Amino acid sequence: MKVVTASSPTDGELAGRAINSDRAAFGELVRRYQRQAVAVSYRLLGNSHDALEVTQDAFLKAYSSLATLQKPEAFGGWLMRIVSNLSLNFRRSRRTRSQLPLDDFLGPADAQAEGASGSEWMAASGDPVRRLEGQELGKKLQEAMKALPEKQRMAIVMFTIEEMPQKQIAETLGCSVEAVKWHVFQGRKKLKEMLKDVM
Amino acid sequence: MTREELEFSISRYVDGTLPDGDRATVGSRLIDDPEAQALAAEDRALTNLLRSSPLPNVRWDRLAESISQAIDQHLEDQIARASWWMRHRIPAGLAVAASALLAIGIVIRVLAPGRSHVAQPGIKSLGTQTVAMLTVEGPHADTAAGPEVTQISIGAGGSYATDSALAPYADEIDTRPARIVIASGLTPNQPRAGFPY
Repeated sequence: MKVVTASSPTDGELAGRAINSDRAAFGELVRRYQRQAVAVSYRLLGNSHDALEVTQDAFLKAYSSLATLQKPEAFGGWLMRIVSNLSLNFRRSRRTRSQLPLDDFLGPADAQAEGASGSEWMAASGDPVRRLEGQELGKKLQEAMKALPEKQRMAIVMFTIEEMPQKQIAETLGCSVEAVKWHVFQGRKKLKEMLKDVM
Repeated sequence: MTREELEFSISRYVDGTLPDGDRATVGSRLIDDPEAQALAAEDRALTNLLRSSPLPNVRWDRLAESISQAIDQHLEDQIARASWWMRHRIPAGLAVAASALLAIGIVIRVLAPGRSHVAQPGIKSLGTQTVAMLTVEGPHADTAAGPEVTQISIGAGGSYATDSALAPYADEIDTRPARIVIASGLTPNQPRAGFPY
């Protein structure tokens, strides 16, 4: 979750400075949004390495496309649109994993879990039985999420899980706030149906 | 209210996006409607389940640094590409520009005043004879740097030499120099390396 204190420059101010080639301002935007970018990408891809790679690509693409950002104050929604598009493209193309040393960015548990199961959802418990149950539940949840239409999946990831403002989600998805509410509702309804055995 | 409308209202009630007026209505219904209560419970359970999924344990400082390095690399690549373009495209552009300048120079040299000029041909009456005339002026004679040493006059040749009526016009015919001036010194454009030849 991004934290902006009273004295911090707004996203619009930082993005405006970044557009004028202020690298430090863009660095601040990276620190502000990298967690949200990784979270959204990870929820859509279900894999830490892929999410990190997409996040890097997304920030690079954002930096090189800053001139096309029409409303600097909408940087967050614009960046999340890049993140979600790259994530969906990544899934569609099933790209081979890059040779970047991405394990350097992950804590030890994540770096190991990545190679072991491929699913990290609910796998953090120290109790082996609960951990196994958590992994099973995580897999089911992930499969259910994958079965949703893209806009519903993205709306649930951004709104229900990441608690992003609906206005920002609307900008990201390129639709109205009312449409976001409808996507969330429809997605939740399908998830409840698919997960009724485990809820 | 249909069941779908009720579900939609309760879903927004649970996630906090239902407008205040509708919120009060749904809130009161939740007090004594078991169906509405069950729907709200399902929604809350799903929200909790979705939010319980952990995020990877990322070293954010390293990730930020890596992104910064990737941007630096991207900028360096851009500069390298621009440099390559300058190396390979600018010389070609310069060659084109130089050719254009050369062509313009040639045109100016040919058309500029003070250079060879051919006047309109015409017919001139010389007493009882009518003669076709073409006057060509220039190029201008080089000016000698030193004082005049001697001057040699060359008389008219051909029919101008034998016909006294034409003799006065002999100097206007460009068939031979009207006069040659021998002067000391170099002409301004004469290369010194080849002196005195």
